[in-house]
Amino acid sequence: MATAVFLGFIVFSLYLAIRSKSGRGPQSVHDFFVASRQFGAYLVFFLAAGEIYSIGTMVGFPGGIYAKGPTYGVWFLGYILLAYPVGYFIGPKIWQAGKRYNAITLPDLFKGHFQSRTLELVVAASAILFLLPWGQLQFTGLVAALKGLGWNFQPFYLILISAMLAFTYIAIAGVRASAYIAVLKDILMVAAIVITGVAVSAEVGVTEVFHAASLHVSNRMDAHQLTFSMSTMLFQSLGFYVMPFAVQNFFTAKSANTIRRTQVAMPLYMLMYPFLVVASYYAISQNLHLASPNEAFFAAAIRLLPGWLLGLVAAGASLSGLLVLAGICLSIGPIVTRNLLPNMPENKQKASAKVVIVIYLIVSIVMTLLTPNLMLTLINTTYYGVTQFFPGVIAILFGLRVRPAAIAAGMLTGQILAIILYVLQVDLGGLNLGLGCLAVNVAVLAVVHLAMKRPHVHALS
Amino acid sequence: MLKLFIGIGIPYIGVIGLLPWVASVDMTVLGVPFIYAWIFGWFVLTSGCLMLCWRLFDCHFDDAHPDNN
Repeated sequence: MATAVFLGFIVFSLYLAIRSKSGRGPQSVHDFFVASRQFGAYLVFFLAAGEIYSIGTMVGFPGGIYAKGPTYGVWFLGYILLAYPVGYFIGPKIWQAGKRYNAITLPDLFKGHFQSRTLELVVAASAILFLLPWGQLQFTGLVAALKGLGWNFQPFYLILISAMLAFTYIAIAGVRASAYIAVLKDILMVAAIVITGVAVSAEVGVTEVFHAASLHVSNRMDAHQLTFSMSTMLFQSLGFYVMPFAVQNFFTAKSANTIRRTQVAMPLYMLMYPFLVVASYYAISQNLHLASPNEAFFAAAIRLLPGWLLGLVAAGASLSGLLVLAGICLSIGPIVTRNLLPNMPENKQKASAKVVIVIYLIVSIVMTLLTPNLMLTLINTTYYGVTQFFPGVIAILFGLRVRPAAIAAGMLTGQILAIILYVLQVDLGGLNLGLGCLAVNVAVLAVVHLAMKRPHVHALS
Repeated sequence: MLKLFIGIGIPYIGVIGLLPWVASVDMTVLGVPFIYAWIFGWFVLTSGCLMLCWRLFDCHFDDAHPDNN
């Protein structure tokens, strides 16, 4: 029964993908990747929520608070929440810059503002590099969700099916398909989480669940944990909207005010989290022994929900992984064809991007199978690396005349330093490593900029 | 500046700035530990702050305004 309901939703998602294209002729490259800047507030909202609340919401977050309690939960919820005020202020400016430079990708903005091929290449290459672990995480989560359905296939087949579905969505209508499917996914995900949370509350009781959890994980934080939580919330809330796919989402909006209105509503979507927290603590309250903390949410769903509802939960979880995967594909494809490869004409970019996407998916599958743990270890580096784009983006949005070489030097220093510190497991008293690297990034940027300015001043005098 | 304070300042102070105090409070709100209740509350409050920015400042300008075009 669970499988039948699940497959029903997947078929419906394919129908939505086809519907999203109906009545339109052949799509231009701008329409395929950023919907020709035509989306209204509702589609921008659903697309953003669709790509923000990835499969990590139902797998990683429950596992984190199951194992570590509020120490993990607070920074995770806090950085997403605080990203929305940032988005309210920089989102409209990103949209304006996108319009000014007719951009499709994040590196397009750097190319347009700084007129530097080197900087464009640095941003494009590092964007792809740091997105790889993010995609990998979705595959791992998808396997967990499909196993929750009781499917006993080899992970290889589950991953292959997921990759083919994500590609099919994109191949049908690009970002338009993503946006339509996002509406279904966002509704299913909230329904799945609220239903499971309510089931746990009814079965065990809210007070009892939290009481049982507090015996295992402390509700207090020591100085080290506080430093980590506060610095991570600050750092990741800045990186959130310079993620390459998040920037592309802003480009789909039809006006700057569309973006402001979506940001006002975004925090309210998080009201699903109280239900998720209750559901995640079910396993603790029942003294269940989980094979992995990542099963914390599904453990509750499997034990408390009838088969058909479990199918709905699995569909919500799977679609969240698939949409994020599709979003990453829609981001990497044009970054390669527009920014990495030189001089490809626009009318060839769409077809070439599809080839790039297939190659990306195949490489990802091979890496997931060969080095399953490597990518999960590197997942933390996604924010370390991507947030280093922030100073450059600010320079673009406020029209600051900074030397492109200074931006590139700061960015590369920040990114390389972050990887080194992460690999060496350096402890800065709990301070988020990426935040330290961002400070170094800005310092290098300022020094290089001033150093390059001096001869210019002499020439004038 | 007032817009920045309402939209960014208040949520950041509430969520990050007050965290050391929040983490030291030992009570529950309707059975929910205070630290969770606090952050859940900010889901609504943050949306409220942004709604204020929208109503007080931004909704008065149409798409031809320099901030929107």
